[in-house]
Amino acid sequence: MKKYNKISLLLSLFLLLGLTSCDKDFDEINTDPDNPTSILVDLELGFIERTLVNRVNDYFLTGEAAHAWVQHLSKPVYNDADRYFPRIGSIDNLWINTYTQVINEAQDMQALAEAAENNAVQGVALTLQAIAFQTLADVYGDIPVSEANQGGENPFPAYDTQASAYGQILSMLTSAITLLDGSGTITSGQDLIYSGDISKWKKLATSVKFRAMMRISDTPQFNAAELQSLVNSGNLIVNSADNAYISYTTENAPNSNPYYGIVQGGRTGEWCVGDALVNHMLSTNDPRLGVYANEVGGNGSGNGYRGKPAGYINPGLSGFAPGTVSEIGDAYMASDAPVWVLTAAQINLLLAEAADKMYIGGNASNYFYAGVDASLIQNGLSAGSFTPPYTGYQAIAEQLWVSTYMQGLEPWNEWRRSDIPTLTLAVDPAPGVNSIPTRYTYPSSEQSLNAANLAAAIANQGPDELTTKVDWDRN
Amino acid sequence: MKTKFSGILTLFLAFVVQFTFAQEKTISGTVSDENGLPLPGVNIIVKGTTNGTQTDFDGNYAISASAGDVLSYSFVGYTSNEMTVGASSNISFSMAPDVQAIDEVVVTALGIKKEERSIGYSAQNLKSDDLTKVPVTNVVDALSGKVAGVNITKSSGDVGASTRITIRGISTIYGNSQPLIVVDGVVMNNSTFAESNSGTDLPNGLADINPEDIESLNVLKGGAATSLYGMRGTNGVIVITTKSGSKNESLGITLSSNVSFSNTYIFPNYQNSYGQGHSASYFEYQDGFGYDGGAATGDGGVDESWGPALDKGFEFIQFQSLIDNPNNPQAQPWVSNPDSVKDDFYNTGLSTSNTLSLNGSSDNASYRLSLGLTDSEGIIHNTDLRKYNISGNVNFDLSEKWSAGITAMYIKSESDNRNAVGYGDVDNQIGQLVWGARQVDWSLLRDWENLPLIETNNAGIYTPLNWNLSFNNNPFWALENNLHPWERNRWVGSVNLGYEINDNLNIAVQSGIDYFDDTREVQRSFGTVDFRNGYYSLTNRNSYEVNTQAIISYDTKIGANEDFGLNLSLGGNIMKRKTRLFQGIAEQLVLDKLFNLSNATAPPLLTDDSAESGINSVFGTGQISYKNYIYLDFSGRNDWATVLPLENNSFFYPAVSLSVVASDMFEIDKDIVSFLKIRGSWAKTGSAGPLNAYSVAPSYSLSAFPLNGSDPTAFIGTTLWNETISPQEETEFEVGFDGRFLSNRLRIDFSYYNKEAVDVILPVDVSAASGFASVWDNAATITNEGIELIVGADIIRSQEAGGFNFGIDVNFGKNDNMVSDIDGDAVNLSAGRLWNVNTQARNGYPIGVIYGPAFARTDSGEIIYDNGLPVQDSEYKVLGNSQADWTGGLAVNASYKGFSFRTLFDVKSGGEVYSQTNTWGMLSGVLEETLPGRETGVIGVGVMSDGNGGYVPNNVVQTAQSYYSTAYSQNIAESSVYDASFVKWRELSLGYSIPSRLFNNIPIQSIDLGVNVRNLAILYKEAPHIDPETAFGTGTGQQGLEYAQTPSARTIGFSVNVKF
Repeated sequence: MKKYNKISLLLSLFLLLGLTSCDKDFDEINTDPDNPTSILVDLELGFIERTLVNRVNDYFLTGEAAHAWVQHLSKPVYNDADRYFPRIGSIDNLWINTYTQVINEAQDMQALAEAAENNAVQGVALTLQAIAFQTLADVYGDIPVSEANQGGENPFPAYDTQASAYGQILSMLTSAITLLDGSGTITSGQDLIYSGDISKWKKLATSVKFRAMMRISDTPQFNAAELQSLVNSGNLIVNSADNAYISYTTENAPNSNPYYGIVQGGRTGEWCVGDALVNHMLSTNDPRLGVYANEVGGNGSGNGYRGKPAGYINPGLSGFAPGTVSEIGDAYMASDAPVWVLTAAQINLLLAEAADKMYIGGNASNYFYAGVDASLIQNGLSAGSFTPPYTGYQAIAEQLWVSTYMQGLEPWNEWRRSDIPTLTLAVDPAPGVNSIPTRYTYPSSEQSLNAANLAAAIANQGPDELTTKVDWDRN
Repeated sequence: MKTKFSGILTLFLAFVVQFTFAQEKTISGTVSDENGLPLPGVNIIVKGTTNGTQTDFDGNYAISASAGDVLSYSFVGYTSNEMTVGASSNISFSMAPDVQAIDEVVVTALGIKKEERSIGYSAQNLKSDDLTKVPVTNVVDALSGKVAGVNITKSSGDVGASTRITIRGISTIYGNSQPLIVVDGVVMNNSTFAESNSGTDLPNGLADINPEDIESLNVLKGGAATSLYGMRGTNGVIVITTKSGSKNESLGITLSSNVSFSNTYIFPNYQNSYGQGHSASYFEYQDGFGYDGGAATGDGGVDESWGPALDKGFEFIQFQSLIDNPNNPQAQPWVSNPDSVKDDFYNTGLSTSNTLSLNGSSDNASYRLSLGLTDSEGIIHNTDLRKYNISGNVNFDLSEKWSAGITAMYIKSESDNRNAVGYGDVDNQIGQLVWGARQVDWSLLRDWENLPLIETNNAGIYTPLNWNLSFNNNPFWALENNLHPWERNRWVGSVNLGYEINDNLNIAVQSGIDYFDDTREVQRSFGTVDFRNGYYSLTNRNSYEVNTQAIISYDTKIGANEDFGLNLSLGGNIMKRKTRLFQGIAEQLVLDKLFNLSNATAPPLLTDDSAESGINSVFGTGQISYKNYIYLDFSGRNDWATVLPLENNSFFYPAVSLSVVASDMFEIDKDIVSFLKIRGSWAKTGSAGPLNAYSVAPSYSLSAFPLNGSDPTAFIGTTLWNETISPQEETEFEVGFDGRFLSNRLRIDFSYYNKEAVDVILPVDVSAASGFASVWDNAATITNEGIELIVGADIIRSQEAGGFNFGIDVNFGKNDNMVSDIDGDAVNLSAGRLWNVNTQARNGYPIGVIYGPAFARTDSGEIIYDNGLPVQDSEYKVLGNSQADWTGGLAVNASYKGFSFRTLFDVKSGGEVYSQTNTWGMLSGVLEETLPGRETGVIGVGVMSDGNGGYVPNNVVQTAQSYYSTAYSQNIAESSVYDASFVKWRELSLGYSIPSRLFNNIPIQSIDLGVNVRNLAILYKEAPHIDPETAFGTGTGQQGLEYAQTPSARTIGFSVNVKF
């Protein structure tokens, strides 16, 4: 009898132990001591800016594709992209990273700022979202905007037409401009672009809006009157002191000029300058060439400048081996070289174009030379050291092409719109590519995951090819 | 003993001298076991009398008997023999193990010992000999080809390479698919924490165990076997029992020593007709790249071999020209060095291993202590691995009722330089062979200390000369200056206590810990490609897991004649686990070769992370048996896991199994069917899949890269948490039989199983435009269905001691894996990417689909060309699958007198591998298949457009370089996917036991000598240039992908084992 009592006692002890301690303390164990659940209002700001700027200036994408397609740059080796075989992984990453690591965080920051009633950070968040959406719309065409970034509620968003996307982008910028009224603060350490200066952000938002409106100026959605009101606000970036860029202070990615990675790898010979640009600048005696490019064999060699035409399956055998062509200028490869978001040069030249086409009032020629001067200053030359003849829109478009050198996707954006100068197709192009590419193809992830919505976008926009034109590209 | 014996004899003679009518004589002889080794302690009785004796240590005996007497020989575990005394005075023979030995006990889940006959599921047991006859450094290597249904893949041929084990296929897409390892009841962590796709390869946890310490290794394969382990046992469990002290008359000291030499034996088939460069007529080694024509500068920057023809009398300025005459380099003969990679690049690996163990016992205690030391030098220059093992255990009988035991292991593993694998030529020097220059004489690069330095502004500036100036440092310089030191200290131990309440009831309590701390460094000197200002990283990780368990067991017999047996066990377990990580990275250094975080040019990047988790469980198991031939087992366990959401963190795992020993139930001639057991089981298991500590508590993360090195900045992860997540569940059904026939000369064990895992947790890919790249969900079903067959035959079994025995063992396993129910058809597997190729889990295919760019083809399958070059299809395709169709092994063993022979063949059929070594090797003109067309050009086989929507045969000539570099590139992966089947001659061992009669006066019990060879040859393979048994690492996604693998090595070793 005694032994059975002992047994049942032990058994009940076991059961008790089992049931009472089954998941007590689990909550505490599951609190991650190393990652925060709540943060400061703008703690994500630096991450957003850095990711956006570095992704847009990825040398494997923009450096090999966009810049090569407008024949600013070329590659004397490993030049698949030059011949219109871009790196699919890089194209995919632009889409994925911009949505998940820029726009997602920017919207989160906007919500935090709204809860904290911080107008400045809200305005910054909206401006960055607009820039990010515009980047995507410019390169892919139709993209999700209104249904985007709804997380689990809408894992497979529908696409908006590019026109509709632009409409939403413009209204984001309008709201941003209003919010950037001077109230609220931005942590200067987080703001890699303007160190927290709200007035400069207002100028940036206004200028991005102006640039976007000019981009759709050939489409029915264009509104010239609004353009004039932007000019009248006096908040456009026409002075180089207001240029938007990031200048990193370390030599290590991601906190350094993305192109500096090429230098660190000892691979500066793998890129060179395109001969369309070199020849144009030589023929116009443009002093910026000395900054844009190095002499063949290095500066001071006396060998002059030589660019490489686009393409060639074997550049070396065709006389364009590394070492025989000009590499990208040292100023643009330095670890602290400015990585551009928007420049006074581009805005002034767009003002010239707007005035020339009578969208706005003002003297086109004055704007033109202001733009050229801003570009000279930006390159460390003095204003007035170069005065190309002003011949109306042709001159403006040419200068837009030259002045946007190494500024992310801007050269390709402007060239697609203007088609000036005339560029010839690369030698040995990819099969089926019969004209210079005018967009990136949609990422393979969208093809496998969001097929139905993608198909609708393709039906609206045209085949998912490099050579299909986006909506604002009307010529 | 002998005096006592002669006394009896005298007495006997005295008493019966008048009664004997038959001739009385001394019958003597030797009794041996089934392997021909002497069997001491055999009881011999003259039947019908009390006249008896025992065999001595050498199996010898002598007994007095008359002709016509029957001598009865018996020994526990062996079939008794009866021999009639005839004319001969010598009766010697071998005894056969008794299949129905009721003592055959196997350790099953949670340390519960069960009789093998009662087990209703498939479990395969390996004994010490199976694991140590051919010595290996990592015990997992010893399992290859021996266990049906178990798939072993070694990441590379390197000493210390990680090894992956899968049992009965993969049932999870993300998350761990390797089995749980339990050593003496202590759960051991089997991960390597290696970086994915690149970095150093480290031996995983199981490698720490000294194979000499293992008594038995039991592989529990199916759900019924493992459900008592709850959610952690869902991929199978390997239960290891180490040797413990035993009663013996000798000193109990054993010394094992092994020396082995390794050499690579798989090499790509290189072409030896054309050298470095891009020009067919000219080569000049200087700074930068160079081509024909134009301002020709140097070709030393080129890492491809489309250059001028070798051995045709050309002379060019090459890297060795600068060695001979740095200021005025002269052209040297342009000749091939076909064997230089084999002879000059790799070293012969040398490994020595010594273990000293002591064991013994007294009345109340038994103990064992072993010390082991392994020291290996790798086949890659300047790589090594050392391992120190100290392990011991003591078991006490504290009183009649109380017993206690302690086990402890300390293992120190260290290396001055670990081999690097994967992409990242900076560290993995084999990358220099994948691309390459075929004329290089590697022996000229070895003496890097005396080579001139590279002066020009190239990748390796100020480092010793190399054949390549753009992408690779001198490999021997790199291997001696850019080290990857590693050190791991590990303590594994347990304490257990047992109390026998009465004859039927006992309690066992055990607590065990696995603790390790692991430090690894990556050192890069100035001038390293991509790191010209050096680099240093220091990573320290420590981790522990503690399991405390208590079981109360009840054992009784009930019913008339005690026909029914009843065992019941109830218990609980508490598991706690914590890992800490600290990492500091100095991205650039101030002083060269000073590898310290304070020597960084900018504040080091710091990572500080920890994870804590736990599982609380209760479980119960029971067995009802009838007359020792019908057994019904049932068990249930409930886990509460912290990694699951609080509202849904409880999981119940039931299992039931039935075992029927038909040979005992029915009247069957035991000579034909010695033993036949039919078994079946059903079980439900499950797991948390890829969920880790804190997966349930999503938060922001702080970037590992503060802004400009100083300001922290935050971001949101790209995987969205889902609060409705529930654990994944797996149901398994198994049937089989275990039969031994013809007096145990033929053994057949067969199982069929069918498992289905539902609600498999994975991060489901969503459109990135949603703001997240993936969402956690229960979103797939995986089924595994297969058979396992093990057949053993003693083809020749000798009845006499030392006679010739010959037998074979065959094992075969086939597993069909199928994935279904994934929304959106496929997910990419984690870490499974090589350029544009991904491994995937895809609906309708086994896990491990190889997916990538392919040739564009017409409807009839012909490749489409444009301008002589193959065109890439607009869509990626399924190119293959890493899963094999079946695996098997054939072992042959023989023995004669003191000699023993054993050999093993290992077969894997089916499955594919994507070989990047092949892709780049073809693109760079290094492999022999790139020879056709070098002089004349290549016309690709296929069709081209006729301009009118139709096709005509391709007739456009392209240069060899253009053709091969398009057909094999990151844009077309199809051409480098190969059948990964192989037949390997895995092991051969020849052993000799020195006859014990030589040891009569020395305190040595036995000396065994052995010669053993591992990886003798690949008898069959389809994949060219590489060993198809390869992977990037141990992750599921990394199987089926290969890049610059460390080639497999053949190891020849000599071993001595002495017992005192």
